[in-house]
Amino acid sequence: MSMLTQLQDAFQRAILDGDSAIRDAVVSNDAADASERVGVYVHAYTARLVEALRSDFPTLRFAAGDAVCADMLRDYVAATPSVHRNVRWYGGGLAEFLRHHPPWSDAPAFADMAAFDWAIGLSFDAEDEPCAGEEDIATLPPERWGEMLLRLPPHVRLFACEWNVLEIRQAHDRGQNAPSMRPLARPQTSIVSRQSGQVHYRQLAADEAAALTVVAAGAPFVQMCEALCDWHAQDDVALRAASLLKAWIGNGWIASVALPD
Amino acid sequence: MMPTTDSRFPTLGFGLGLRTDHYESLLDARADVDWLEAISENYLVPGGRPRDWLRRLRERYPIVLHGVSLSIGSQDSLDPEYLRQLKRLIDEIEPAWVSDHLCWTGVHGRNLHDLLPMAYTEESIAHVSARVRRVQDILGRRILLENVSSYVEFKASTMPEWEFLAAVAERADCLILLDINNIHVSASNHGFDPQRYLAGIPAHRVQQFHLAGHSFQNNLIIDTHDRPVADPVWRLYADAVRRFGAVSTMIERDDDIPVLTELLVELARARAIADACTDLAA
Repeated sequence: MSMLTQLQDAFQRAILDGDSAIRDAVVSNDAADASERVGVYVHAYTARLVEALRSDFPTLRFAAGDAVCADMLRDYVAATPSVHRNVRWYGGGLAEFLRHHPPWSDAPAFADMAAFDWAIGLSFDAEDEPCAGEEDIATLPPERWGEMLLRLPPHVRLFACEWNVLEIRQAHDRGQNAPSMRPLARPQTSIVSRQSGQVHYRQLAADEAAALTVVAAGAPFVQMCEALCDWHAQDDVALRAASLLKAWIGNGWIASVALPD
Repeated sequence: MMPTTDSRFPTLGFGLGLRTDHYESLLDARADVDWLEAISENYLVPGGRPRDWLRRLRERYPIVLHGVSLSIGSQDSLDPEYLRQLKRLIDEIEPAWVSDHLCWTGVHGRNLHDLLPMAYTEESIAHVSARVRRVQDILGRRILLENVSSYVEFKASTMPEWEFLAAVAERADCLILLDINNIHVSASNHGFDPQRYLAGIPAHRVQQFHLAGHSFQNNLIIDTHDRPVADPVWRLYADAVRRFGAVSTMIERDDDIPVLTELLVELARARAIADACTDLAA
């Protein structure tokens, strides 16, 4: 192993694992000894990642409070070495970490908050893509609309949760006090999307959530209509499906409509 | 192949680090800022507002891209996906130049998100300069490498930092982004003379200066970028201008970011120092 490889390996172990071997390779002088010098990097590593996560997870921070949030973020940093060039992506595993690691898993609302913040972040800087218009559907033969495939753009994210995440986020965005975390009477699906550069979120009606979930899975329009049958009489389904589709296109939630090859 | 002449890019004047707090102020009115330095990684995202802001600002100002995760000194392989994304951003923004740091940021596939110092040895020079040449070939342009501030020196080093930086720049045929604050910070932390540092840097390689603030932790100076440029750094900047001439200069501020007008006052001070020192030199 080359000298350079040994040094970098030992330095990284000092930062990630608290290993002290690197101190023997570092110059001490009157200003500071090797331990203090290496300690600057060890401290900066956690501080820098916690700060990056704090800004990426505002709902979580708002709900948990600064001190508790800092504790959970430090736990995540200690358990999760970054494999990302860009620190922007480092928080991608936070929701799952909180869902599965005590004591944070004892309060499952935290994982939902983190997942919601992450969905908002993904929508914020998702790829720019033109939206489909109603005229795109008009070009398809009506007898084949059942086969039609609708594709959601990258900025549209569906978010299923069991806690009052939206209520807490709305309070955060309005500068109000944080409401208590509480479970919802039944799980709800929300949509996060971007319009004119701004990220929006809102809860979906149950039938709309089911229909959009089918579309997001890549199923054809006919299966979306079948999903609506759980909420609507057979005769009303076509009207409801058309109404939803028109609204989605108006909201910029549909990137393309196409027939299968 | 990249060009092999040693000519520098045209001088841009006096700029600022582009931070989200100042996006609107920079677009609202033509601020007295000649150019902007954008952190590459902030815009290595698929789309949305960050890229949109950068495109709009690019219409008003020359922009240079400054990376923090090339990890040119790492023993890990260069990251082809990172370079592909950076190349795509370069093609879109057409920056005046592209820079990163003479450091490493992690090994074994990990990233420590810090600018970690090298051991100053022949082995390191050979390793880094070969990688810089590969990066320059991939990007199709000469890059700048910046001296980082440091809190450790390795016993294995066989030369001072300035000799290492100069040797890498010459062997890799790249340019230098000289961070004046980092020279002051490292000189204080390690007990070397910053004038010897300036004297050891080849003037024909110096493309850009960085200025920034720092803070103190016990007997060490920490490169925090969270306050105005300190007086000793202004004095060293004047020395640098006397030695290297009219070099594009920018101020970095990454924490406790003030309103734009405050930074413009600092930038005006840099202009005044540069004007006075280049007049004297002439």
